[in-house]
Amino acid sequence: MVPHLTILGVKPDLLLLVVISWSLLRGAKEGMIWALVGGIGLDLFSGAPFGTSTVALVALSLLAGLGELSVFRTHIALPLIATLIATLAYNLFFLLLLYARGCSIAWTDSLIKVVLPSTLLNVLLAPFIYKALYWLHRRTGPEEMAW
Amino acid sequence: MKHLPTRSTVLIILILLSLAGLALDQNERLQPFEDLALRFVVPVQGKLTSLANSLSDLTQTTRDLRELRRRNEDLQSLADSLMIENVRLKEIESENETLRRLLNFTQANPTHSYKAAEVKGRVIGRDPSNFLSYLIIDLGSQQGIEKGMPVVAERGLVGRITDVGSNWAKVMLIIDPSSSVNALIQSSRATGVVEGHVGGSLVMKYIPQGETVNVNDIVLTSGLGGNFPKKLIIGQVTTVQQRDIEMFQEAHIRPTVDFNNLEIVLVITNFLPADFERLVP
Repeated sequence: MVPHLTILGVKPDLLLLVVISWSLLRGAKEGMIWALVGGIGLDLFSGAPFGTSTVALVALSLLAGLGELSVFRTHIALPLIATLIATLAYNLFFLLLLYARGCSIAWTDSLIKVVLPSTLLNVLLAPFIYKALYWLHRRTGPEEMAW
Repeated sequence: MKHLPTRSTVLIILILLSLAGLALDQNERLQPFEDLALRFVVPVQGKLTSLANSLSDLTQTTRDLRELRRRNEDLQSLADSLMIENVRLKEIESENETLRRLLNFTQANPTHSYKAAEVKGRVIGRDPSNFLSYLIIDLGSQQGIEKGMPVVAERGLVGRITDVGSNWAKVMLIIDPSSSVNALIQSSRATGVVEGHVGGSLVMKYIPQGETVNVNDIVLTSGLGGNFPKKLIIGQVTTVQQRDIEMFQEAHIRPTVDFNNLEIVLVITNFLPADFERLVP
């Protein structure tokens, strides 16, 4: 259904948002499980070489997992910044992959038509996904010490 | 001891009074008494009648309400079933329309001999990435689909098969950045290569300088390279970039196919792309 959901001319990377949020909340280990399962699902439906999305998502979940240790973990700015960086890295990874396959990339067009709108869309959606997963984390995770 | 009047005595008195009343009424002597009595009774009678009517209306309303509720439920159920039927018929009508257009397309392009070879595939998935443009259709090797077969819709070229499973196949759309199609401008016969770009646009490259390319010119497949059959519509020229210092011209193409709303496509199964690898010694 998600491929049909187009906003600002691009599709939201919902799985990327879930992986980043979960990695921030529960660490890289659990984030990687989402990345692995979801990435395989994406790869099955994608025309990119199999494993492209899986590798990209696992790498990003590893990086986002570092945020679990941050004292700002519960601050809303953390998922926003993490989503911004992750979306840019994810898009750059795909562009480099296409370039490596010999495709002629219109870099300015790609930036204006895809990278910027999808980054904006993902950052706008990130708080909602993070809030929903935070609720799930509180319900399923270990008790946290309240300050 | 005082004697109480017996029942028959009372009866006789009442009969006599009635007869007297009748006699007096005949002579219209009773009129003033009648008038006086009715003057007090009529308003009360009016109120009582109105109350009785109201009570009657109330019971009728309750009955009507029950009946209306039942009829409303029946009508609601009928409306629901009609709505479902309507949706189903609209879907059938839409599918019928698409199939009719596809049939018209195959009849308008008899050179590709679609009749014997055409296979209809339903689009069941799209690429989740923002950079790639692929479709998944519900046809695979079981239906005779092979890698490289061209895919078309009623409005023109869609792409080609890149991966085949037993009952599915991936179609690389011509707007995918990895796609390139040998093409020609219909009016001037100028040749070039139509490439897909990120964001879903099409650019026709390598058009020799000196060739005339105009806005709104139709772009068709040229058949060169053997990847696609000839004369399939790709799109229409929207802008032309021509610089004297460059070797070739470029033209931006608006595809005729609406890639976002594809539901049914045709796979041309009697055309296989030329395999040049076999020619290399």
